[in-house]
Amino acid sequence: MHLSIAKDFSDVPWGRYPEDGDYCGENFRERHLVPPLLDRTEKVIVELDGVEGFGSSFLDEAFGGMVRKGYFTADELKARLKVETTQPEFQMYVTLIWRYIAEAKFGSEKQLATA
Amino acid sequence: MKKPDRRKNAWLLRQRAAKAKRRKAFQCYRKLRNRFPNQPLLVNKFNQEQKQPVNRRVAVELPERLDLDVNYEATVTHLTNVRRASEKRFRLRYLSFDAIKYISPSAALLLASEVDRWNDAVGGRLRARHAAWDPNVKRLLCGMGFFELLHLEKPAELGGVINTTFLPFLRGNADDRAAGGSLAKKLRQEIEAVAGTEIKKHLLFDGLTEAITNVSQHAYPKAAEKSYRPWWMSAAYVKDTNMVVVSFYDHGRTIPGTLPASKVFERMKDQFGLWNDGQKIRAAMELGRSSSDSAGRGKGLQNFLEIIKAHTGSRLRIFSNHGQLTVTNSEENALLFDSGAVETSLHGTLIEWQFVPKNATDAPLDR
Repeated sequence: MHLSIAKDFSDVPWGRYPEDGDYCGENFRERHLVPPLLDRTEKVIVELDGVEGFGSSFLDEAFGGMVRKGYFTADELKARLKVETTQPEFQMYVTLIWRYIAEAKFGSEKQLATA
Repeated sequence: MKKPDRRKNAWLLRQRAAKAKRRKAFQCYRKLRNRFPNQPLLVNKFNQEQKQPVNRRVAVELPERLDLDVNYEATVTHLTNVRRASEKRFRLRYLSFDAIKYISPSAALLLASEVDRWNDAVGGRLRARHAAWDPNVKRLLCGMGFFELLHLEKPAELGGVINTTFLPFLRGNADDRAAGGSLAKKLRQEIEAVAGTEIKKHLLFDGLTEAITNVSQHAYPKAAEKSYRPWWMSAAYVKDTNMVVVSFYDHGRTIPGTLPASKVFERMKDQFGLWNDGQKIRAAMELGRSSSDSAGRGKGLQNFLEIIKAHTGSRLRIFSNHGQLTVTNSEENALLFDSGAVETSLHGTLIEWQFVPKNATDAPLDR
């Protein structure tokens, strides 16, 4: 499954929680990222191209949050998730996403989000 | 020998007593605020019922140089007077711009925020006779949107020859959940239009949206959810040097006011006044420092540095409460940190980025 953040979510993603903004990391995770990862057996490819940028709050909550909330372990995400970009300046975000996933402690935020 | 004027003496004594009372009340408030940072001790709700101004008028004459770099104390003191008028709902008899000969982009944003806040709190028409303003200052303030803010009619022709352009300031509110990202994008597009060159838009977006997220998450007490939680941002372009200046400002609890003292010796230093606000801002830039207990937090302030790391000769400046932090990217592409304390509190947090778009480097960035 192919998921474009700019086309399927917003070209201005920002913030961590819904109280920050509608296009926050938690909303992206709960509405767009976790459902296909839970439902499908094929890899989910997340495309970063076309957005203005990503603050670390958004990236950490969207990707690191999947581990902290106990949806997946970092190893499971490595097997099921692929993050790609054709914009050279966005390569740093790919690195950051995998770092946030690796640094997140599995199940450290027990309550599941309500978004 | 001249007979002492008893009425004047009595008036002076009353003034002194009132001043001492105000000082004591303010000290008491600060003490309580420091002890209970998360409690809503004083919440200014700018709703219609409270919008009735009290029957007192104050006049504010702005100084010749409104500039945080070289005239910080006078600039902030004058702006604080406008803030007090908002908080106490005093009418501003007039706000005189006549003496201003120079205004920096960030000082202009601070002034715009205070006038904007006064408009919300008290409202009404401000007396400001722009005929007496310095032509260059008038041109700059007109660009930033001061005429709309002051409810003044824009002059048909603007004099002055100046190579700096102020972009209209943008205002957001932490409760407006759709605005942040769109406004950051809008500001970037306006900068590119006036500078005539592309900028590293993703890094500017990251810094601005993290600043907005910080306002929403930390700057204002949670109890004030339905009240006034604004922020302002603007940009300026200096044609001579191709310099872009981007400023972001909020009236929240400040970075030092929300930073937890994570180590025992830091708490002790704070207790004995040995840990100044500049050092606290610098500590907040360290990864993992956050006022939130949640995991994965404390990465946001690092985002402020990214656009500085990507341009040689650039500068990040943060003023928050009684502290300031300056981070300069030298010609050798090394980051130099300088923090310190300032006497007068800004009563908010100002973040200012200065960079020359053509000095962008391709050096790898690391957060």
